[in-house]
Amino acid sequence: MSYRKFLFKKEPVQGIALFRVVISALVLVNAVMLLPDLETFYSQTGIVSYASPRVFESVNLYYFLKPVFLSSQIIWGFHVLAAISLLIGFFTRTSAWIAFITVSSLHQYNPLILNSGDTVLRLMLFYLGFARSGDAWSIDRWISVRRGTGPRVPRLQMPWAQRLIQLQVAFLYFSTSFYKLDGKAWAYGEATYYTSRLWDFERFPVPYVFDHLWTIRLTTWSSLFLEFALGTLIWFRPLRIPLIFAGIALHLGIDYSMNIPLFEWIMISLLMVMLEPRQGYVLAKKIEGVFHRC
Amino acid sequence: MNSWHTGTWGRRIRDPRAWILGFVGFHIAAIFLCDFPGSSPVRRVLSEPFRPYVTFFDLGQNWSMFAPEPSSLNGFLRGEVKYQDGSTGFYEFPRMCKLGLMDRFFKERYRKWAIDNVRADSHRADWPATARYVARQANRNPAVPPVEVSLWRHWVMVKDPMVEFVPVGYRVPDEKLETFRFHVEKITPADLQIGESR
Repeated sequence: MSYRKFLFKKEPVQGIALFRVVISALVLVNAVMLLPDLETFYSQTGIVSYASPRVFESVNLYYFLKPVFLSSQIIWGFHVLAAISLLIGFFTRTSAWIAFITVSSLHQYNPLILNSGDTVLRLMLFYLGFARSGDAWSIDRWISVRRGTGPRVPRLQMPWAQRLIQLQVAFLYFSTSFYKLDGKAWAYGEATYYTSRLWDFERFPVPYVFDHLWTIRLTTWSSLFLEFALGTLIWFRPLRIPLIFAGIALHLGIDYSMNIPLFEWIMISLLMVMLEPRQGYVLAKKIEGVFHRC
Repeated sequence: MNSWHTGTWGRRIRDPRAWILGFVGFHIAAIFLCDFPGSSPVRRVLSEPFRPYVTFFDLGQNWSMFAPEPSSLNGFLRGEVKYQDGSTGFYEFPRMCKLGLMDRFFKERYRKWAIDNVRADSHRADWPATARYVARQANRNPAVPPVEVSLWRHWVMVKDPMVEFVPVGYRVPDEKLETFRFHVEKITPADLQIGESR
């Protein structure tokens, strides 16, 4: 496939719209989970001391506001509103940008509590700021159809923003597997021995698998290979769906055994966007069908 | 063939796809050069022009989850609080392994803060704020305020399975963990003020 076809050949938008709904729901849950500890994480009497940045280097609303709890509450409030607005597809791209700017500000106030899932969500909001994800499954579309300015069936659009997300996801998997190749525990097949012995990460018990060296090696090497494949082999069409299913199984397995709150669900939603736009369309239509039946 | 294939440069520049292609190329180069693992002098030089863009949109991330080595450290932090009357008390940072399933899910960020960040020597700059936070948490009686907070690390490393293969769920009792006091902070009355007036 040429790069022109890859970026610009018009494709259905239902897949990226479905991705928008899932990601914004996760952004919303992530934000609401912060609420009980908002003052601890984002106030002058909390766990970090923060002064307003003197130089405007990054997107950060604290440059314009005092770094006090009230500012954090306002930023958090706008973030939640933007996430809801993105979820329902109301001023979709503007909402994505507002959600991105607000969450970037909060991340810069307190980077000590961030995990990779936070970074992934922030990046996805950046990409959704460019994507035509509000052209389906959205209030924006409902309004345009009612006003007679939008077509009854969503128009095909250039998928370049979705392609950027796909490239980012593949890069993420490839670089994490590349990093791991540098580690002895991964090379010797012992990595999951260590991760399964971390007291703070324990979740549900996994009998047998982490009690025997051969299964520990199998899980270590297979997850390393799968991450590498999700960053490289996923571009070969016949392998794409099997790899996506294998990736979902990997992330569900980690989510079952380890306490890493939303990260695995975020990664599963990223795998969904790795589908070709036409495959995404089929998936979105199937989900639509389920809703209609309900 | 469409205008993309046959157009002159002038026409191509007016085509939005040319701008999109430029942005996509620039963005991919920025992400690859700034975020790919490892560093070489050539890549450092090549990535320099892209740094302001990556910094401005906060796009940098090294994707090093459990890499290159997974963590092998079990441990926790504790604050020792000395009060004005000479008595002492302890503040224990939230420990995931002592919480129920739901609390563990919601409080995971405390582990990230304490164990992955504050505990490390590279986060020395965050120790005073952490100690002041501990002091405020421990300031239960205004007549006897905290005057000093010490931060302690307690830890044990998971040994190589070829040396010692321990079963899943095996715990080393707290009193057998390695211990080290890594920071002492004098607390002033201003440090204890709650609210935005500080």
